[in-house]
This record gives sequence, structure tokens and C-alpha cells, in this order.
Amino acid sequence: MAEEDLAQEIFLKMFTRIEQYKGSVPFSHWVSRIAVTTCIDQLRAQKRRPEFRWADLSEGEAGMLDNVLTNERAVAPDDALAASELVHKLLEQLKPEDRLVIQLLDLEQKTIAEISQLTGWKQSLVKVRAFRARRKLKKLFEELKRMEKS
Amino acid sequence: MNTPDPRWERLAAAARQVRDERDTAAPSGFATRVAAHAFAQAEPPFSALFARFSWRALGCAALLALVAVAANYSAISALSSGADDDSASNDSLNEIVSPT
Repeated sequence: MAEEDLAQEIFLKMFTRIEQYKGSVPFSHWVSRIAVTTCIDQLRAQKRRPEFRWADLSEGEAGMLDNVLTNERAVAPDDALAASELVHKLLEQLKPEDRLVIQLLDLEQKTIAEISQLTGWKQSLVKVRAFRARRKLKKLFEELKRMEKS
Repeated sequence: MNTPDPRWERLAAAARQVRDERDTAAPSGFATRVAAHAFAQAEPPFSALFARFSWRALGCAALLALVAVAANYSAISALSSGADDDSASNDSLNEIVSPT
């Protein structure tokens, strides 16, 4: 589904459920929760989490991954685009909910409280999802390193 | 909550430097399309309304029937036992009328 179709679905839900808004949370949070649910449902429906393979990476992404796995230096600013593409490919390996949490936490640098407000999930649940996502990413890096060696 | 993997941290830090320059403005006609869809959904066809209420009516009727049976259970059971008595008396009458 295209981004525009998804945005249309979110606005439609907002209009048709407007009577359900009781004012207990700010309106923007209420809309954001509808958006989160709709997008996660869409990601679940896609069910597209293919195995992460070196062969599927572009030259820049593979170089970036190799650099991250072998070096401990910060990534050069010139390589930011390749890093961003690689990050999104890695995020595709996570469950939609975990992916959203880690994206908000590590890329958009939101706090646990802010994520909780945006998603409507309890702070403890946000922490659990972040924990799970980070564990999965760590495991993924280990696997990639092993694959690189072999 | 666990700390992020240092490799992930380095990658994420680099990725944060890339600005998302996608156009966030709604495309032309977007609001009109959304409003049209919303109004179309707001008026359900009569058949859908009928189907929805008929199922509810069926449920209510079934519930009422059960309540009526439960409330009159003693009367019904008395009636059925009375019917058994009648059949028993009919049998004895048969014996008198047509003794074999």
C-alpha cells in the first residue's frame, strides 16, 4: 500500500471514530495512536521479513556493514546515506512493534515517556519492546560477522 | 532496558545525520478524497442496516424464548406428566373396551 493510501486510511479512521475521542489525551496523541495501529497492521499484513543476506546489500551498504563490524571508529559523515539505508534494512528484520520503538528511540531520539504517549503503550511495554529489538539486532550483528568470516 | 549494541549505536548515529527530505504536504485533492470516503462510509445502505438489526432481533427473540421456557418450566413439565397420565388411562380404557 502506498504512503498516500495509508495516510488516507488514517484520516478516514480519524473522521469515522471522532465520537470515540473523549479528550483524556491530547488530540495529536489520539491521532498518532490511530496512525501507529494502522501502520503496524499494514506491516503485519505485508509479512515481508526476508532473511538478511550480504548478497542483497548494495556495494555501499556492504562496505558500511563491514566497516561497522570490523572498526570501532565512528562512521564518516560522507557515509551517512549508506548507513541510513543499512539501518532501514536492519530494521526490516524486526517485528513491526519493535521496529517502531527502536526507530523512535534510537533514530528520532524520543524518550520512553514520549513513545508511550505517541503509541498508547505502557512505558514498561515500550521498554520490553526496545529490549527485544536491541537483543535481536545484537544477534543479527553476530550472525553477520560469522557469515563474513566464513 | 539493555544498552544498545555499539555497532548499532554507530550506525544509528550516522543515519541520524541524513535528513528526511520527503515532501510531507498532502497531494492535491487529498482532503476532498478523504471527505468523500468518510461521507460514503457514514451512510450505510438500508440493506446493511436491516441485516445488522435483524441479527440483533434474532438474538433477542432467542433469549426471550429461553427465558419464557425457563419461567414456565414447571407448568410445562406438569402438562407433560398429565399427558402421560392421559395416555395411561387411555391404555386401561383400551383394555376394558377390547380385552384380548
